[in-house]
Amino acid sequence: MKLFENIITGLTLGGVYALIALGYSLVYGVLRLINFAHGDVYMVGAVVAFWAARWFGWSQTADDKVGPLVMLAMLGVAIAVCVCLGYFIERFAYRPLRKAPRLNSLITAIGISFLLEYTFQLQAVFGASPRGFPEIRLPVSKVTLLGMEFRFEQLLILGGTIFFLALGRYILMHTRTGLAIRACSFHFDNARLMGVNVNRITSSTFIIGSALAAVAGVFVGMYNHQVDPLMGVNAGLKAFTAAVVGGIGNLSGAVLGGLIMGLSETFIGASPYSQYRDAFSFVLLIVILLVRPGGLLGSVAAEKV
Amino acid sequence: MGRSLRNLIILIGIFAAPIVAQTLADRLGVSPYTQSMFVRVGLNISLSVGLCLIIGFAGQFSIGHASFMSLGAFASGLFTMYVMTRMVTGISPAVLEGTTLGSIALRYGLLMLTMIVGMAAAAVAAVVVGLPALRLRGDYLAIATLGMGEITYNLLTIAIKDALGSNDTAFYLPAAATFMKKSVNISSAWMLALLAILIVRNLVNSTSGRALPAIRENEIAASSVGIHNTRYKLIAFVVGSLLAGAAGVLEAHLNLQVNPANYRFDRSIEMVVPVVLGGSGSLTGTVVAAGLFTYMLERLRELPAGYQAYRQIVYAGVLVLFMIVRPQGLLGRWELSDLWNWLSRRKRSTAVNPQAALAMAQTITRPSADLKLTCTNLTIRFGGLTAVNGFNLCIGPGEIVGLIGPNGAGKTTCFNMLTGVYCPTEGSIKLSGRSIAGIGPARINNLGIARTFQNIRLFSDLTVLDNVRIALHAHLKTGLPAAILRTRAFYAEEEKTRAISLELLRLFDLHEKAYEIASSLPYGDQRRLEIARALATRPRVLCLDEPAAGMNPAEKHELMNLIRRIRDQFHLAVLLIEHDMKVVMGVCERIIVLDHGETIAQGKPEEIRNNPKVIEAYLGEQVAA
Repeated sequence: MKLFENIITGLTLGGVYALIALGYSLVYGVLRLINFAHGDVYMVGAVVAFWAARWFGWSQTADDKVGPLVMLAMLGVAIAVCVCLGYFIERFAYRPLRKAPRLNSLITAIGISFLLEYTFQLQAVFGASPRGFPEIRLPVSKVTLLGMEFRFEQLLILGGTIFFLALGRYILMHTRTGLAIRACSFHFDNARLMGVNVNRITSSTFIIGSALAAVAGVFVGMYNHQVDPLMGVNAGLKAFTAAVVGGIGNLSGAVLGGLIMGLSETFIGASPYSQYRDAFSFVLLIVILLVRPGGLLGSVAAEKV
Repeated sequence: MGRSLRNLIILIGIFAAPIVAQTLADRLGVSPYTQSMFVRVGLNISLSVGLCLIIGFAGQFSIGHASFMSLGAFASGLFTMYVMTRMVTGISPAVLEGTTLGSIALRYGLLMLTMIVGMAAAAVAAVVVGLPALRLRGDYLAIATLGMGEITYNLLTIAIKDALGSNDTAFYLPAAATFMKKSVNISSAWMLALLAILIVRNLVNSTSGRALPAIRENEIAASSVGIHNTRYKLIAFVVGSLLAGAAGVLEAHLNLQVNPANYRFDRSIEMVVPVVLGGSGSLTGTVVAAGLFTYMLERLRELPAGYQAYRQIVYAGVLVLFMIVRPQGLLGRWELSDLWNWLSRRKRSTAVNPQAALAMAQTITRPSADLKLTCTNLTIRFGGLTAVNGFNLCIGPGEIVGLIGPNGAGKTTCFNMLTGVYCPTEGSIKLSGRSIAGIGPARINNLGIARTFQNIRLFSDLTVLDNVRIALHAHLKTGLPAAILRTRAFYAEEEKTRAISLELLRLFDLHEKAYEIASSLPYGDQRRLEIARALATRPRVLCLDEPAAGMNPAEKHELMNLIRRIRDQFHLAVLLIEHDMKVVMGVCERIIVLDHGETIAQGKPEEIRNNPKVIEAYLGEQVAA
């Protein structure tokens, strides 16, 4: 039954990747910008939740668990802070460069990413080494499913991920803002001509993406019981890969890509070839780019001659 | 003669200046710390100059370039460890570490040897990665190179851990190779940097090398003038990787260790940053920015220990602010040579040269007695839509054939098939009996079909002269090696190319504007420049896609004369798509009418004018009175 356990772990990991990947995908769809700072927004989410826990009276010891309501409050604070962060990054770093060459926005995004990583590594801010994240106090700690024991926390995370992915999908497919975001991804200038306030919509895109990243940050903090100022580097890269594999700019693609990445990583990690885990992910990325440049579910519009 | 002498002096300077600098530094007692800072500045300049070729000039985003450094470092490290240490076993350390001329020469020789190994590894990797990846465009290439960087890191760490048995991510060069550290100094680092600058400068300032900015400006237009895009991109990629490999070798022997962790994403970005800061597409800017930037980062290392963490924050902050405040970079597209030209007030001559006119006519006209372009049953389907169905055409030299029809009739699609942009689903295209369907735009252009575009596709950011000059590149006899070496033949051909291009521009009355930027021209001039550019590829068949669009009546009239004149002078076949009936009827001997992909009529202008089917296609069915 190791298989079943791996599937659940892979799904959990993949779900988290999907939450982050959605942010990459949304922003890329609207601005054609690889938002390298997105992985760090996810890290900020986890760190802010950690601070919130301390503020709510958590004693920073492993034995001191926090109640479900406190955890929800932590999540709320993390989302609020990340939404502001995402908004400000777009407003003050990316918006002035919207008409500049693509490479400039790319470098700016990387600069913002470095700025966040290095700032949070300062001892005065968070510090360079990982710190513990509170565990959630639950009535039951283990659940038995199909003869397998699972941490209840893990199932909670999996459920939460599904909830937030569904919420993201609902916003995009069934609200006016979502419709406008899709219009902007289809054709930015045409959407503007049709009266869409593209600045507002671009901000919404960053807000939604950052909120989902914050959720992912808190979930990963819960899962690993620790936060790390560099946790966004690897997760960001993997989530971004997931977005590209699934088809960047395509929302179902982001989820599919996330699941593929999560499952393949878990299975390779559990196999004798575990050290090739990262190489495999990126080989997969390159192969898919070469075979289907638009990703599994995406498409590349041919340039009209 | 003056030119050869100047080049010789430059070449000697490249080798002499770093040696003099090193000697001076030693004599003046410059501290090893300061010296190593200058070594790093030199290395970073060569790295960024290589990337400037790829990103700035060829317009291909590579953000995983540090992996070529690590491959170079790794391969040369293995070579030093297993081969070189054995080669020098018989030689006493006193000789290896000595300061006599012989010792220095020996160390340089060994360094050269290990550099060749490292550069070869980097070049092989660049070909293997570049060949498939360079087909991707823009962001996707960036993503692929990013992935490549991570793969290289992952595999090299495994190799170092498993195969070499190291217990951390680095492997260390053996004590027997310590003497190599002595040869990595200001002189070797700056020789590499100056050579890199010279090679890239010579490359991009040549007719063949200008293919790179052409690809950056417009890939479709570049292939339409016979540039094999992938080949040129690959060349730029390999040259950049060779330089990265060389710098990697030097760094490995400077630090006496190879640590793939030093060559990850942040390092790749550190290499890209000067290219963007300096002004993408300015070699001078890249060199200045790489120098200043490395110097700044190294000086920030001197901050008190407690403030070290702020070093990176300053770096990232400066980067972001600079991008926002000055997105075009330090110098934009400006080069040092612009200053030189300005100072010397060198007149950019557009004077007539009687021989050039003749040379132009001879160059552009291809002997083409047996020329015939024939299409039979040409059909293309996109999914369920048949865009063109059973199109037939036969055209020979001296003919002007018009292709007309309502919007969406399939006219441009026909052009796209003829010029290799699309591959026809059915049917054949033959040029002088040779099948050319689906062999790609660049090869078709090389064989003698040139085109213009409905929505103008010039190399917008380049000069008018460059636009035409680039198009002559496919028929050059001297290539990139001659451009790098600046041979006598290269100069002769460069001179000739320039004269021919100016002459061709004169034909279109554009020679006065030869040094203006193409996108700054008025619309009508841009259309004519595009025709001039197409002509420069020495076509036998010239396909003009709505050349009169956006022209005023006087210009249109002139255009008709021009089309006839170039047909006569260069003995061309001209295929013309045009909506202006005055132009079509006035200039074409034969007209083919398309509607919904079907050929509904063909014949002489007067026959077409009165054909009821044609009138119906344009004006709709006649309503019974």
